[in-house]
Amino acid sequence: MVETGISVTDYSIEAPPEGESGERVLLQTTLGEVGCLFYRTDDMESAVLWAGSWRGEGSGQRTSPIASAVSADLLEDGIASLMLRYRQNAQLPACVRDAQAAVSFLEGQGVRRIALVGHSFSGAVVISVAPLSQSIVAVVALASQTYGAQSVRHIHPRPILLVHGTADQRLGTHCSEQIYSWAKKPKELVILEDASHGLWERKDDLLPLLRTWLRDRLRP
Amino acid sequence: MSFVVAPPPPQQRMHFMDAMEEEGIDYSREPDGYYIYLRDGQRETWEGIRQRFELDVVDDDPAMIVDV
Repeated sequence: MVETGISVTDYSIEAPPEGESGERVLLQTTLGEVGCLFYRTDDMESAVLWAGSWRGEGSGQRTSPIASAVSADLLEDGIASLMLRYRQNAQLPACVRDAQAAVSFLEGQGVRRIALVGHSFSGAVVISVAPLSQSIVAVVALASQTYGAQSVRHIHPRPILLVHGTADQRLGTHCSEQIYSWAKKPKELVILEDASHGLWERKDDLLPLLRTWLRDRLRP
Repeated sequence: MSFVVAPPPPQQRMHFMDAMEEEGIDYSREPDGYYIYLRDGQRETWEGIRQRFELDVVDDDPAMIVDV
């Protein structure tokens, strides 16, 4: 069945899974339940949506270390974060709908400036979602795949940051370079030497880069 | 005419693509390198970019890529 749209009909807030902070938010949508971890700020002016950064089931639940580290830093800058868990991993249309629902939830919380961050498959998700809401002011695609990212030119005039590692054995740097070639300015490509698909080997460069880049676009 | 060049060093690739875009030279990044497509009158401009980024031509007669 083709999913043609999604609406958030209600939401509930629960205690987070063991070992996680923030609030566990369950979005009731017209396509089913979408889970998120929510890290609030006082004014809720701006937020980062970390697409697909919460994964796993039961005791195997985990959040992306990149999303966890940068969202903690951004909280100090007064920027909220929402870590999205997909209903169905690796199903691009369904994951795009989930991200749309998360954007809608943030807008309903009063957030006026939203940045999207996606890693690998989720790079294509955030690139697909970005043109669909005026609240989205910036996009980051980490080690992104190209499939599903061809619409990147529609992000313009909002900025996009692409990051890729030279030691990525799953998706070569040519993927982010290709997306960069398709995108319109403003755009930025950072290639981290010796970083694998997870990029964690270069966390000392990556985490400050993301914090600064996101803060500058969300708190101009 | 079309040919393939090896990618410049990682830290120069964004600047290389920016230069190509600013000069209006068509290119496509593929796994085996950058495919360059020159139109009439672009050869001199391309030569300047090639020298600036010290690019090596690795294939001067690539198979055409046709999207269907």
